[in-house]
Amino acid sequence: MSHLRNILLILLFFYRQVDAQEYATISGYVRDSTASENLNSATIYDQNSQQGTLSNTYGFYSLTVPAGKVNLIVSYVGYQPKHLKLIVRKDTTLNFRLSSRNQIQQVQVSVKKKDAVTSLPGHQHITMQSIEALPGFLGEQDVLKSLTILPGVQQGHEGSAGIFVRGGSPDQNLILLDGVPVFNASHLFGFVSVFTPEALQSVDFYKGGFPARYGGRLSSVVDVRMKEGNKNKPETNLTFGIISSKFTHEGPITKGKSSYLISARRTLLDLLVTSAAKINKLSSSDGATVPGLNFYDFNLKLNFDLNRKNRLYVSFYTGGDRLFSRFFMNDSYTGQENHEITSKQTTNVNLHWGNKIGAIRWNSQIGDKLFLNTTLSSGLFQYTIHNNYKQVRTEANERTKQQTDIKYNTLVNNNKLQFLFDWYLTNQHKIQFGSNAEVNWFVPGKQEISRNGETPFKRGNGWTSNKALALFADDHWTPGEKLTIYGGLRYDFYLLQGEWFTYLQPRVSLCFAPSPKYSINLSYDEMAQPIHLLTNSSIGLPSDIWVPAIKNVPPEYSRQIAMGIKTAISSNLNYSFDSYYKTMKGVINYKAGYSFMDIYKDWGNLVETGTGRAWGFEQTLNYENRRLKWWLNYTLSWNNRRFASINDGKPFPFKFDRRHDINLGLVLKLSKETELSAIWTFQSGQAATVPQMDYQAAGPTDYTTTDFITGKDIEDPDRIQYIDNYNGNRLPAFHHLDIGFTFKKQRASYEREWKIGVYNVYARQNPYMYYPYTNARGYLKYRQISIFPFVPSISYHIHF
Amino acid sequence: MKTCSTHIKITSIIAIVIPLLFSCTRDMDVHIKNVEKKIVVQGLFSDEEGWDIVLLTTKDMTQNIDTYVKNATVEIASGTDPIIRLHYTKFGHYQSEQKPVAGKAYTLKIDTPGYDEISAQSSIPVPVKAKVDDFKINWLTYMYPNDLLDYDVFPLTVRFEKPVPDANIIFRAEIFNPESGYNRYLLPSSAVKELEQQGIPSLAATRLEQLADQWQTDPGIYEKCFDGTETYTEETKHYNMLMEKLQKKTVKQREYAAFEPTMCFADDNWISNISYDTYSVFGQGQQVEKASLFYADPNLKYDMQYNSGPKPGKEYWLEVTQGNADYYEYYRTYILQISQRLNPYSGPVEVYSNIKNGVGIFAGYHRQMIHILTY
Repeated sequence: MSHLRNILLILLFFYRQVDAQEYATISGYVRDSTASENLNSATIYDQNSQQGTLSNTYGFYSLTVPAGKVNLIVSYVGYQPKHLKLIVRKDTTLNFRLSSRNQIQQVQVSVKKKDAVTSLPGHQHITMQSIEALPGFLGEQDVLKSLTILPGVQQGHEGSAGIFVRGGSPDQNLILLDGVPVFNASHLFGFVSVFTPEALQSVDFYKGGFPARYGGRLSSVVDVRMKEGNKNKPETNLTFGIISSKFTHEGPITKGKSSYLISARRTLLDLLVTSAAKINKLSSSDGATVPGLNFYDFNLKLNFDLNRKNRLYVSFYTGGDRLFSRFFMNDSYTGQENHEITSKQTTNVNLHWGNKIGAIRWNSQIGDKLFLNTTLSSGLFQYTIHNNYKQVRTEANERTKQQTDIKYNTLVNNNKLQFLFDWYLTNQHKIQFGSNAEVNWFVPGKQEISRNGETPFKRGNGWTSNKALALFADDHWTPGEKLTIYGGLRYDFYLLQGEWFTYLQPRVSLCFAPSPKYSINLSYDEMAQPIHLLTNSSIGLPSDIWVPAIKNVPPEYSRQIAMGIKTAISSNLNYSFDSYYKTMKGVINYKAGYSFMDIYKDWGNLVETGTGRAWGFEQTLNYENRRLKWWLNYTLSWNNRRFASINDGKPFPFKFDRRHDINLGLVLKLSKETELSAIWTFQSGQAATVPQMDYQAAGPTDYTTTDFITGKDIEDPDRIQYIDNYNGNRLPAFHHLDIGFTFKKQRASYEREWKIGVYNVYARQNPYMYYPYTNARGYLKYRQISIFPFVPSISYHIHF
Repeated sequence: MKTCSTHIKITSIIAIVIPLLFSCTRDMDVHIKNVEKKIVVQGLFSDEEGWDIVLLTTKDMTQNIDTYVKNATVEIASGTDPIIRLHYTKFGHYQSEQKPVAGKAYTLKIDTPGYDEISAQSSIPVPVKAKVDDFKINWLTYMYPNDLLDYDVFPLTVRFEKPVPDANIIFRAEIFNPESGYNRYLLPSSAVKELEQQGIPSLAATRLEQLADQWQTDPGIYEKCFDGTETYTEETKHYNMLMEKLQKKTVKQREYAAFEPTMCFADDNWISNISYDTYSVFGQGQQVEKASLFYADPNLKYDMQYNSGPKPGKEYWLEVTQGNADYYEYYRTYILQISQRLNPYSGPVEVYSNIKNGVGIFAGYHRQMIHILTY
């Protein structure tokens, strides 16, 4: 209590300081002039008093200046800055509308340069324009893949779902769409993320220096914001690509006051594949297989200005993947008594997984300095399998029918109410505080088997839940031009199996810039995670299962300290160096020999908890002028795990421990209408356990000889493979070069864009999966499967 | 309009071609560290047989022959009892006629030139007699949850004479076929030399040499020595040459090696099958009094229902093994490793070892064989 009292006294002190002088507060919104989209992190700066502030996520700002003449400059990356001179005698509301521009001007560069040096550590604000400039995979620009070019962020391997941030695993990333957690952020086994770029406004990515409002994951935050929809005029985007085609339409409901955005995306490739298989089926009377795979996304956003100080947003997203296979086989033969017997068998396998997200958000401006954002949201991820087998057998006009249905279901559902206040206490203290209450529901794997209409046999882990309450506050404090401090505290309360677990998580970041040319930064974060992901591999299968922390598998917890420097070598060239050290406890792993196929057992007994340690050095060198932008990112890192039952309890390299990670890229404007982009990615080989020695087993050794999953005979079941060093081997290095060309043309009524690209230009065969086999000479070898040796792509985009 | 249709054409062609470009396989270069060879101890012991410890080394998986350790000093100590020194016989075996005693704690010490001293401790649990309750064969269809397949089974209850404290128990179903179970086969080492002179592959000869002069229950074990060494056309010729050299005798005992495993499933909370294995049921518990099982053999139900001829005369048995915790963990992880070896979803399974400065197992057990029925 005494701490709380002290904090209140300090706040009161600052408030009285402000009150004692003649000051006036200017507040309002910064928005895009064309679409009236809110601009997050726009700079509002008074050149006379040299006071400045940033707009919040919803474009709101509040700046207190000495009463009298002010000389305001409002700027935002990619927009024309706005200058305004006025005399302010009392608290004033000023809304700014900035115009987008194509030409990069000196003012912007200088603002950017300052930002580049003084921005807080671990945070990147990424605009969709910068993502769209990168070469895509199969013509698809992707939010998550574009993050992997950043230092400290790794792609697992080709086709792996999720990203690996500073030694973390994919489940340790808090991925938010309009503030709602997305539990499975990928489509097509991890090749494409669920975010449709045309429907997005911006991405804020944190790998350290986490604001206190974020919690529940250890390693990173990817905060994706959807566009609000153009309030002034209708706009349409159409894209035809190899992987998918997209339609996005936005416009005003009531001009200037409310808007909508609708976006839909779907694969078209499956229509070709499935149709071809169906044609084949027609020509075959004995049997055929009709496979199919598709994914879809649908986004809807509504945005209403209720009055000058209140706004309402409604966001909805649904998306998913569907993988199916229909197999049939007909057979006829003559039975013992010369009866003709016919048999028709059909097997339908349907896998469906996807997310549903809904959020209602109410923005309320309370006075000139306080802004409240209230959010009620719900997010659901569900994975279902339905396997149906039917056999109809006819013998001597007697018909027998057999049917088996196997259904599998796993889901996670998050329901949250959040109050988030932005309090512009003084120009030096921007305080954010609030609370949220959550109820999470889980079905960690439930199976139902029914035969011939009999009572279904049910097994698995049914509904379970946990509850969470969080209180948080942080202060964005700028004591002087040279120092920025971000201090926060988050207090999480988790109700797990009737018992409260509490985690007080301090977070501090500071940035000291003794000169405009360089800065030193430092951050310390503690994070707690009350849910776990049961996963065996990261090959992008939806077989990963979310489960709540429980008493004997408690929440994960991490501590991270990071230090770095940033310097502007010249007006175009920046260099940064960061180092981090992170410890994790409570990380989980399936016990040896268990996999998601055992999930119908009590999952708490299938896993063990351990610790993790990661440290590394990240360097970035980037250059940007009007025509050319290039960067070189290099990460040197170590990433270990420790579990009591693995590797004799000694630390071992995490599967995605990559010693070196290099990313070299460029975006070059060849002409006003043509742009070239190229990215070369290199990662050291991933860690693997490759047994090299074996020995004769003792005692009875006549056990299972056929593998259930593969149906293959297990060779030498009497021999034990000796694992000397868990994950002690390295697979071949992973690298590829991707290039892309963009051809834009502005017509009178529309803009069109062709994108042509090649993924993996020099056809590097990176390992996707590998398996052992014995070659003709009797030697044990490992064979790798590579999936994308050389992939050209093309997409056509039209905007009107 | 023309431009648009050209675009659609190009897009369609590329859409069809691209999937064909996906996926390719090749041998992978794995950066493999040099791994030191370790001494392997095969030291399972029971109160029914004299001490027999086998020492060998781990071998490179690309090689075909085990290397046995011949020059070790192997000693067993138990409290204040005189130290038992085991004598080397052949093929890595160190033996003594003295039998271990249940309930005593034993310490194994092995000195091998060039290696650190190896040691391990274990004991045989005090045996508790088990018997099978009277039963009638009541066939049920049991869906094994681990592979979702149906099996024809009948329930069986095993009851212990008194509660078993610290129970580490493994149940296995076994068949003894009197037609073949009493036969023994031996290949003299002189015959191996003759076969080598007659042109059998040298790798096969080396493997046969390691089995020579030992009576075996299954002649197929000799045949297996030719695996991967001969061409298809040589198979019959080599088989005939081998059969000519084999010596045969019959014995009167049902030796354990002559039993063949059949299926057995758990029907109690404290016991379970491991992974996809259908042969063994494992259970750990305190003061265990009984176990409910499903006994199964793929042919037994069919034979009983449809075989109107003479009964095959096969004997169906249940093996009940009481091990200590090391024995249990070793077998559990061994079966897990075998079952999961080809499972791409499973992480690698390390087989449990209690050998300090080596690998393998030194663990005591007590085995009971219970006759179920003869059909």
